[in-house]
This record gives sequence, structure tokens and C-alpha cells, in this order.
Amino acid sequence: MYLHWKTVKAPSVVDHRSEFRLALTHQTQPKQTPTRWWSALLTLQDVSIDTLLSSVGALIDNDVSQVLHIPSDYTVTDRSARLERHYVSVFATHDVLRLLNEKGLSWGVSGLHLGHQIDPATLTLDMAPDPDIIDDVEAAENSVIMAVVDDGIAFAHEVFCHDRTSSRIAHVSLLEAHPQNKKRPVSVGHALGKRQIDKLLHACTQSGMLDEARFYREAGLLDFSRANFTPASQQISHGTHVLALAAGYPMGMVGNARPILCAVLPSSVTEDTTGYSLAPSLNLALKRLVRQASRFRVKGQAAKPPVVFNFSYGTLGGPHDGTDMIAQIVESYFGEGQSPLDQEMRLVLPVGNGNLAQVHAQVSKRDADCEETELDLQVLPDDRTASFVQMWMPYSDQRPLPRFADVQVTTPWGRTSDWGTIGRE
Amino acid sequence: MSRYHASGAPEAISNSFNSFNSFNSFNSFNSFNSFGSESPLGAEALLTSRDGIVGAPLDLNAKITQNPPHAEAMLPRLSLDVRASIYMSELGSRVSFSEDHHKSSPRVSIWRLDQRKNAPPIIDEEPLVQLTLPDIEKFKEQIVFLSSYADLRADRAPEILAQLAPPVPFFSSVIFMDPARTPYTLELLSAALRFSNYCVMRVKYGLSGKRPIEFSPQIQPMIPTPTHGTLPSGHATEAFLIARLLWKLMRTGASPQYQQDKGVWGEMLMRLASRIAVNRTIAGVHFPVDSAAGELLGLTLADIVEELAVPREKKRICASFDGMNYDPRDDFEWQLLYTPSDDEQCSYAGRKKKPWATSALRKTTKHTVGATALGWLWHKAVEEWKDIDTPRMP
Repeated sequence: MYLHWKTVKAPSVVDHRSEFRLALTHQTQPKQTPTRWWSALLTLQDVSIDTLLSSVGALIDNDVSQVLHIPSDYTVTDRSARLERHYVSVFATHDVLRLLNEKGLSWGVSGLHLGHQIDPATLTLDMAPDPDIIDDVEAAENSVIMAVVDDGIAFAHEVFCHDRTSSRIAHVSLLEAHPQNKKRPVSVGHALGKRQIDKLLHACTQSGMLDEARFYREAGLLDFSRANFTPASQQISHGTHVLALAAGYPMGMVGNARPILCAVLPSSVTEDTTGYSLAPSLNLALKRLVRQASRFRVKGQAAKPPVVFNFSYGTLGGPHDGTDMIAQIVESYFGEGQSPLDQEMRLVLPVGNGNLAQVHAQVSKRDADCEETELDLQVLPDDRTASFVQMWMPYSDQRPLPRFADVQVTTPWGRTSDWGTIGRE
Repeated sequence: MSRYHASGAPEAISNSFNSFNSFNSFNSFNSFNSFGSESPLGAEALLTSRDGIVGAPLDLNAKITQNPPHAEAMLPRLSLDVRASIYMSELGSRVSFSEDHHKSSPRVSIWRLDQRKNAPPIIDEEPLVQLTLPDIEKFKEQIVFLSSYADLRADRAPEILAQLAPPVPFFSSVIFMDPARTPYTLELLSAALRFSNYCVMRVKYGLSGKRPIEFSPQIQPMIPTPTHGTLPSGHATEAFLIARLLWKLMRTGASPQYQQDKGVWGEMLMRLASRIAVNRTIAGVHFPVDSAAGELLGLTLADIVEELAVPREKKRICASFDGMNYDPRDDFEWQLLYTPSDDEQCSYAGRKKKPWATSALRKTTKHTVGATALGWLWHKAVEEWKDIDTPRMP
């Protein structure tokens, strides 16, 4: 087998990865598949959501709300705001996303980061935006709100309860669940407040024992009638562990001072590691939880109780320098000057299990001045899955791009490729 | 099981459970016979031994009378396998089966045969239980559950393999059963399981439902698919039969420790039964609807076992499962059919006008003769769930 580089003609699109992914599923999935819906994160530059919607609406025959969904979490004010840079989570059909990804439409979409394929039945398309002002929740003095974004959170566990039928969870969002609440508090997935959780705990407790299978089925977390994988049904689930580490206390030990907010991300965002992204879901989860956190007030105090967020995911790809999409989203909520003035917010991230030493290598400027640098990738002999290597070059404004580097690949069996050029040839 | 032994792998697990398995401990009775049952060596020895001591024929007029016929007092003198045959004949002779079609789907009815004193038995006009197979479209729709539940196979593999054998050790882990402590309870379970197998196989044969493995090449069950029909699930039938019988014994025994929190012990037994049933869907050999039908049958059989052991006037269980009314999008939920706090089957499940399950305690004026051997065993078993009275100091 001869190793060679394949030069791909760059299509005129906003985001090449999204274009590749959209085209790939279009080619590989059966033709009779019903309309494919995706989550995506749009970067809007100097344009409001409303303006974007009318631009798209003017170009298509359909009612735009039936093909491009802006979650109800974006209020009327959010939608009319024209910001220098605005990350907006959207859900859209394949065709609309390809349209949005076209370069040169001057719609103000400067980034389109594709998420994952979704079941459109998890959306309530015709829902009005949330009101700008929502009800306050009274908080105890010295409260610290704990907010966790994860997947498979078994949120009825006793360490998240005051007692058997009273939860400490003030809000839980299940982004992949099918809407079942007639009041429809959210347009994406399903959400439960403390009152609903308590009601359900009560209904599913017999002889003092909670029937967990029934509870999670009725809450919308467990649903074996759909093909979605549900980590919460397993003996061990990541989200439950993380939430318990962050906010778990023996039942009844902690009063009202540690209310919990949590969002359960779709498990499918991490299912396919070859290009699905959790960024749109994460952005939406943070938007929702930040808003929920803003409801808490301590009687007689001007400042709202502080919030500690936890997001225990790791990314292997990306530039590893704080400029990837996840880092930018985190920055947009928790960066300097981003938190609301009356509420302190912090984000806690995990460290250590990303195996950085084995998945990351960097060529410094000094190395780059040398003629050649060799980088090793250890591939286990019995690992037959595809191994991806991303090479990130320094940012450059130059057009055409400078010639960054020439690259040659040697396989574990000793075959060596031609030289390929990154940047201008 | 025998087929499984041949394939090797899970043998170790199931065998280790067999040693736990209280049924096998009955074998210890065989060791009474130190020669082994029909040892030629033993016969030869007895022959020469007799020769040595028998002496000349005596002219004896033995003071001997006949045994009383059909006497409970005889039962303790019978070996376990003889008693097991008697229970089986008592239970088996109380039911009869018929097949027909209901809404163009196969239906099996189990009828009650009333035994009367000094008269031949008669068939009750109301069926004890009827089961109608869902149509093929409903089964097709339920296939989605098999692929979703398959994600849990790695988690549940040890349970699934251990539950290839009767799940008695799992119940012994919830409530304190042991061959030394509760021999009659275990004997009762054994008789009831034999009876349930007798009924289930007949119903499965009558309905002949196709197994999941026949619907898609992607099911690939993690254990061999049994050759008998899919509905009702035999494991669900057995597990719910055991759970309810044990709960009935514990309720009747009236020991205060088992009566707390209304029905926490019964609830736990049912949760276990449900887990055993669901494990079969995870394994890839049953649809959720099979478990629902199995639960209904198991609960009903538990009630008829009790009714035959302890005849009760004017209240007879009759139940039905109509698969044609089952919504195939529904997962299996055991609570829809039974409440442990009062040991009662729910009057219906599903939509009220088109329920997929019904049950009722029917009033009757008929007098039936109870199964006396089974009744004797039942009372012995109930004794095992009573508290031992603290002797009063004089």
C-alpha cells in the first residue's frame, strides 16, 4: 500500500468540518431517512437572531420555524440583541444547515459548529420564547448553588434529597427527553422543577422504597422504547458520580443552602467520537442553568447566591490552547466581565484523565526553526480503530496562508509517505 | 441447562449457584441409603446377613391393620419425590386447557376442575385465566426494546447467567430461606414451580409466539433462545409465582417483623421478580409484553395454589391477558398488575374500556374439596414464617 496525501478542494463554506460531516451523513444514510435534524452552534457576528431568522425565511419556501429552531431559552430580548459575537445553539434540518454554512450570504454567521443528529420529536417547534423575567426562588442564607452539566444523572438518588420525597434539585433539564409536560416549560427536551420532582418521588415510592425504574421512566430519563442509550440505567453512570461528588450529601444532612441545578446532556453527543460535538448542547445547558440560577434570592440581600458549575468532560481533539469551541463557550459565560454583576459564578473543570502526555505534542518556535522535528504517536498493536491526528498551526491573517510546515507520516510498519504541505504550496 | 453445559462457558457460574440451590439439598436424603439405591453389593450383603440370622419360620399372627386411606398423617413418612408427585397430581388434575381464537389471535384458556366429595369433578364455567397473543405487528414494534435493553447486557451478565437455573437463591437472599430452616417452604416452591411449568409450557404451545431472535439478525441473544414460544415469559411466571407465594406465607405467618411498613417485604420480592423478568429482555430472549403476560399468569397461579391448599369460600380468582389490547410502545411495569400491601391483583391494566389485563375475585357458591396433601404442606410452610414464642419464665 502506497501512502499518499489527498488534496481536497476547499469548498466555499463557513466551516469545513461541518460541511464534511453533513455531506457524509447525506451520502451514507439511507435515502428514505426522514428529514435529518442536527444541533449546531452558530457564531453570530453583529447580527441578531431575529434578523438571521428573517434572512433565512426570505430564502426558503417553508415556515422558518419548522426547519430552524431557536430554543425557547432565548428570550425576546436575547433574540433582538445585536452583539459583536454571540454563540447561539440552534436545531435545524440538514438543508438549512448547509444553507447557513454557505459563504458569501452575508448573514452574519461567522461560525457553524455542528453538534449531533437529533430526534426532532424532542423539540416543541411552535413554542414562544421564554419571558424575560421569571419567578424568584427564595434561597437560604449562605446558599451556594451547585450546577452540574453531565450525562446519565440519576437525580433521584438519596444523596440529592432532603428526605425520601423531597428533592434538593431545583431544576433538572433532560435535553434528549421527549416533551411530556403539558405546560411545556422548555422547547428542547424536558425539564422538571422541584415541585414536579417531589410529586413524582411521592408517586413512585411504595413502602418507603423508591421504584427507580418507574421514576426515571416517568421523568423521561429512561425510555427503552426509543433507541437512545441511557447511561442512567447502568450500574455505574458518570453523571451520577459527578453530581454526587459535587453536591451529594447524606440524606437530610444539608438544609436548603445547597440547591442543585443540573442538565443531562444527550448521550449521543459523546457516542460518536469522529466528529459529533457536544458544544451546542453544552452552550444550551449553560444558558438554561445560568438563567435558573438567576432566580435565587436571599431575603433582604441584594446579591444573589453564588453558583459553582461543574462540567466534567474532556476533549482530546482541538488546539489545546484555550481557543477551541468548548473553551470559547466557557469563556463566554464565565470569562472576565461575563458573569452578571449581582451573582458570582465559577466553573470547575476536571483535570488529569485526558491522558494529555499521550495525546498532545507541541512544536515550539525554537523547534520549528530547526530543519526537522519528529513526533511519535503510540498506536497499540491490537487497536484496529481509526486513529485521528489533528495538526493545528498558529493563527494567521495572511491570505493566501503561509507555508506552515511539510509533513511526512511513517506507519508502525515502517512505510513512509510523501511530503505533504500545510498552508500554501 | 443441559445444552448449556455442553457449550461450557457459563457452567461454572450456574453450578456454583446450584450448590446454593436449595432443591438439590433434598438429595441429602438419599444419603440415608448408605448402600446407594440399588447396589448389587448391598443386596448380596442383605441376602447373606438374613441367611445368618433369620432362623426357622415362626407361626406369627401379626396384629396389623390397614393404613387409613388418603391420610395426611402418612405424608411425613413419604419421600420427597413421592410427595412431589402427589402435589403435582393434585394441582395438575385441577386444571384443564382449551384453545380458540379471540379477535383472530390465538387464545389459551385454563379452566378450573372442581373436585367434589363422592362425585366426579366438574369444570367451572368461568376460566381461571385466559391469555391472548398480541398480533405480529405489536411484536414487531416491541423489537426496539430488545436493542435498547441490549446495552445493559455487560452490566447484567452475571445475573442473567445465574438465572438460567430456577431463581430460588435470589429469593433466599431477600428472605431467610435455607433447607434446614425452611424445608417445607422450599418444598412448596418446588411443587408450585412444577405446576407452573406444566401450565406455562401448555400455554406457550397453544399461543406459539415467535421469539425475538426470529425478527431480526441483530438481536443476537447472549444466551440460547429456548425452543418454546415467547409469550408468556416462563421466567416472569415463575418469579412472580414465587414472589407472591412467599409473600402469602409471610403474611399468613403474621410475624411482626414481616408486617412492617405495610408491604415492604412483599414489595422487595416483587422488585426482584421484575428484575428477573427484565433480565430476559436484556438477554435478548423476551419481549416486554411477554413479561407482562408472565406476571399475570404467575400471580394468578400463586393464588390458585393458595386457594387449593386452603379452600376459601365464595372467592375465586379469574384473570385475563389480552395481548391485542396491549400498547406495544409500553415497557413492562409490574406495578400495573399487583399491590403487595393487600396482596391483590389490580382489577384492570391499560385503558379501562379496552384493558390488556383484568382480574377479579368471583363469588361462587360451589363447594370444592381442597387438595389435602398440598394443604398439609402449606400449613407446614406457614409455620416456618411464624416467630418462635419466647418461653415465659415460671
